[in-house]
Amino acid sequence: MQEEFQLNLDIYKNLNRGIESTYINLNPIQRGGVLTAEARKAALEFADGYSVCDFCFESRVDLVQNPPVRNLTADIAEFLNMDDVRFTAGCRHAKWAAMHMVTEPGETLVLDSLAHYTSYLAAEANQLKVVEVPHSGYPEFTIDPEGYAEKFEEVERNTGSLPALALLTHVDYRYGNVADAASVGKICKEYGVPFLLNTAYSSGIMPIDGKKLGVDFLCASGHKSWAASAPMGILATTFEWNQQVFDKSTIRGDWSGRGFTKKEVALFGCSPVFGVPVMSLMASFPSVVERVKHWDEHVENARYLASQLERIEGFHQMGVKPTEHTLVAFESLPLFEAAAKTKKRGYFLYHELKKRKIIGIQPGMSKSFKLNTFGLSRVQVEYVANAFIEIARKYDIPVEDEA
Amino acid sequence: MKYTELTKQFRQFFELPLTPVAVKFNSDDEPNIPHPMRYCEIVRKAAAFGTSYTCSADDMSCASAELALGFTEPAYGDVYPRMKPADTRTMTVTPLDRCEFEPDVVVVVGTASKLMRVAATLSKVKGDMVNAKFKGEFAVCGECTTIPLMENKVNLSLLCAGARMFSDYRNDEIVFGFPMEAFVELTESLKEESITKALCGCLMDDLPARLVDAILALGFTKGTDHFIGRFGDEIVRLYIPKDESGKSSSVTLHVPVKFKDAAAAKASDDMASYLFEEPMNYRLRDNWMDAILLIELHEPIRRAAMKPEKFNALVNNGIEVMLDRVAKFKRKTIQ
Repeated sequence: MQEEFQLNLDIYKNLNRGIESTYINLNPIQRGGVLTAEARKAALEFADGYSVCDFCFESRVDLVQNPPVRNLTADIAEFLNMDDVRFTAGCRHAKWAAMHMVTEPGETLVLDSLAHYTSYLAAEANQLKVVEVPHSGYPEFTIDPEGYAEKFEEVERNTGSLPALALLTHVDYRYGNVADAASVGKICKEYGVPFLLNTAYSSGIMPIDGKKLGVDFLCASGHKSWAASAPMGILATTFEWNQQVFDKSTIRGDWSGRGFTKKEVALFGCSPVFGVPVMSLMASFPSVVERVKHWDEHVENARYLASQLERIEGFHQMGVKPTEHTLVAFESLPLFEAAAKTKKRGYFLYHELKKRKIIGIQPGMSKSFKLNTFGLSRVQVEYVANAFIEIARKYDIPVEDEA
Repeated sequence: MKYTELTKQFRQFFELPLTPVAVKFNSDDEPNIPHPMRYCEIVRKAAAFGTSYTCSADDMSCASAELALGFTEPAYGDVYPRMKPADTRTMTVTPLDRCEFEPDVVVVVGTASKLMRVAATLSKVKGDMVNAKFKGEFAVCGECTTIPLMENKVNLSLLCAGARMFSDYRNDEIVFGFPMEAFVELTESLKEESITKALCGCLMDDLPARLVDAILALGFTKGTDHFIGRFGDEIVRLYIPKDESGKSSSVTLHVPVKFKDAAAAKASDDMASYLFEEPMNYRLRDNWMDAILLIELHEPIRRAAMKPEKFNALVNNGIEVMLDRVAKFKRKTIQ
């Protein structure tokens, strides 16, 4: 007889997040992924596993017509000004898939030194060597597009051939700098190196035109920037590359003779995003198309918050100033010094903000922190600014008078 | 801690596929062995299959083990290692998690890479080297059972020919023997360390600990990408730039000075160019004027930090220069 499991299953009951919907969430990776009301409704409707596949006649989720996934695929391609689109299990899967289908093990990937860790891991999984384009260092941490040309030539000198692929992180996750993708795209075209643009933190919240940026492969994160549930990614490409990237299966069972010729190899046959992820992306899409038109207003809110926080002694926004994005990083040494005098140590900031119904600043951080204001109204941003100023005053940190 | 929990914690921490084995001399259990076996074979079976055996001298098929474990006295000369006096009547060998008695010894079987981690952790707990005594004979019995008990010390063995030939030990396996107390002490000290020291899982730099300590000793605290510290009335940032090939032989000090708006910051450009001349520099960032001082170390920073007097003097002098210039700059522009 099987031994009885000693599992405490009570911990899985009554799951909740511990925060209320009225809280202001500043989490840098979550703002662009907050669901629209339509997406929440669709999520409930399609919460069952494989629920998108009720009327699947083509054996692939991107070809399902009811609900209109096929239309969504085409519309997203148009929205990004790319030619072809597939859904993936996150932006990281999109990067892995593009690398896997257009490079050979041992080849070189040139990427920016602010790239997300998953860019490095995707390269590692595809057995690629990486060569980094340096950033400018403190305090701006910017990427000079000319660095790509220099690295292309360096790779050619060292290996005898140009890199197999170039990757640029459009908006880096550490400082929220918006890289000059168009210039990198131009350099890639001149050298004939295919260009992969990581638009997690950009597409879905700000306008993106893949053709104008000279992009060959564009990957996006549905849960970071398209108001979709995780895990949701997008891989877009041009007609020049779509056959190679979305190559179909040719394998055949040696005994049964079974083949799967409609299934796309790098997407594990059928994109693994059935149900909530793809339906939340679809339901949010009209709002996404609308919201990118208001990107300047969102950036203006972030700039306002930066100017308010910099009234606090020792607060200093890192990265490009004024910020060009809603993800912003700050130094805040006085908070770190105040933390030493509190019982909660570095966690005091988290608790002080939570008392004011603000969450999303990494617990334990006080010396420096990141936040994202995307999607917040000006009133909410003002509330956040006042909360920080109130906390600073509470801990005797000088605050400049408002100009 | 109960033996079941001890076993779980030890196996989980070191990711060991085999169970630690408890050994008891002259236990109260009755011999139950189906046919004569080697002691080392009994231990591996207990570790791999969870079997428990109690055996007497008659159940031993290996004369070396019989001597080493004290079932018999040697007829001629002496043997090392062995239980003295030879008063062993029975031995019980059982997986530690099922143990119902107080064991004398715990034997751990694992691959060299897994037991390397055990050794490294043991060395940290004891604050000393792991001293192993072995020669490739009397291995599981003498080296990993008798020595831990008779000499009250942890011992490591590379096994013996008998164990590898007859008892199913794999080529990459070796064995640790622990006195019970040492095993408990080690296991109770095991704490799951964070997978990396970085909150987000990415290590942001490759600075050696010695260099970080040298900079912290100057009065800075470490940020994600740079160091930051309060000196006088100013907050000074220390950054370590890298050249094209990723090498560092300089540091930069930064003090951003805030103006009421971008126009005011721009208006201070003349004063900045006058005060922040070589080796200083400056950069306009919106409403901030970032004063920068480059300190050339003329050697790789790792090596420079190993000469604390010179390194401290260079940086401290740089901070002094920076504070002086920034104070003048502020007097002439903002105030």
